[in-house]
Amino acid sequence: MTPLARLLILLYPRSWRARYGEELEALIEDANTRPTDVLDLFTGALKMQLTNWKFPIGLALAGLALATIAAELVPKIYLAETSVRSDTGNHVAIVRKAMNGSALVEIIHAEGLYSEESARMPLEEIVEQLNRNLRISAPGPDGVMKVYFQHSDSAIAQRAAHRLAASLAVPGPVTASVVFPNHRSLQIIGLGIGLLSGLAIVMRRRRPA
Amino acid sequence: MSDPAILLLASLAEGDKHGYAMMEDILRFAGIRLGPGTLYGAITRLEERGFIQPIDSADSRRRPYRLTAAGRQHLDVEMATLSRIVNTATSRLRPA
Repeated sequence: MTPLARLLILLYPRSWRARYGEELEALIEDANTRPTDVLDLFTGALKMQLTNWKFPIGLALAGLALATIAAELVPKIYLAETSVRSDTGNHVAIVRKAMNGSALVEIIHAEGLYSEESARMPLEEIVEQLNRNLRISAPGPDGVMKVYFQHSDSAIAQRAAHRLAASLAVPGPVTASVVFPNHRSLQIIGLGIGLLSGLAIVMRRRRPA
Repeated sequence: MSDPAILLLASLAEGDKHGYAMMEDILRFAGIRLGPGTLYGAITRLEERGFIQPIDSADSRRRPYRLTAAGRQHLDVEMATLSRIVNTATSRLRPA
């Protein structure tokens, strides 16, 4: 048991080991080390680490890692974007035409959009859902309009955006980016929670009993 | 009454001791065997608070510790509190 107990001393903070490490090792040699001492040394090392100012940094990095993993595991929402240039002056009319119910129903069927929802929702609500996820910007001075569509599948988002834009005019290239989750925000939150929790734990442990 | 810090102060109230001597003494007078991690956790906290101090020794691996005046005063206060608790509990268990 003694060699394992000696190894556990390595779990204590370096600064603590520099001051008490040899004394603790001598105690382990002198005392008839028992199996329960292994757990006692482990919890002792853990408690001592909780008073170490490096602990909050470790917890912050753990928070960052967890947030990064969580951001990868959370289902993503993609925003596809494309642009169209319309030379006709009446943009409102062509947008209305592109976004009327039957045109949108055609896109829903062609792209197989909201197949799960369509089993339990009426078509009008599906069209309403498509409308919520679709945005067409007002034309700029050069007559270019942006078409945005968001969906949980990047390929579907891009195809639907292309199809919508094509109903207005000849579309440009389509790009898609993740709009949810925001990796950077999640990582900052994870880092912050880890750091603050670590500082709170260390300050609590260092407060005189 | 199993607070390792109080047990350790009570042990050092008898005289200077190194870690293993404290462990054996506490086992003898309280019937409690403190594990090495618990013992050195208590030694660290008590030294930080100025209740005990290490003494120079030829064997630096078995450095003895001494109760300071602040440690003696702290133990005194703790014992007074404990006495009140013991007296109260005893009188309530065995009413006259």
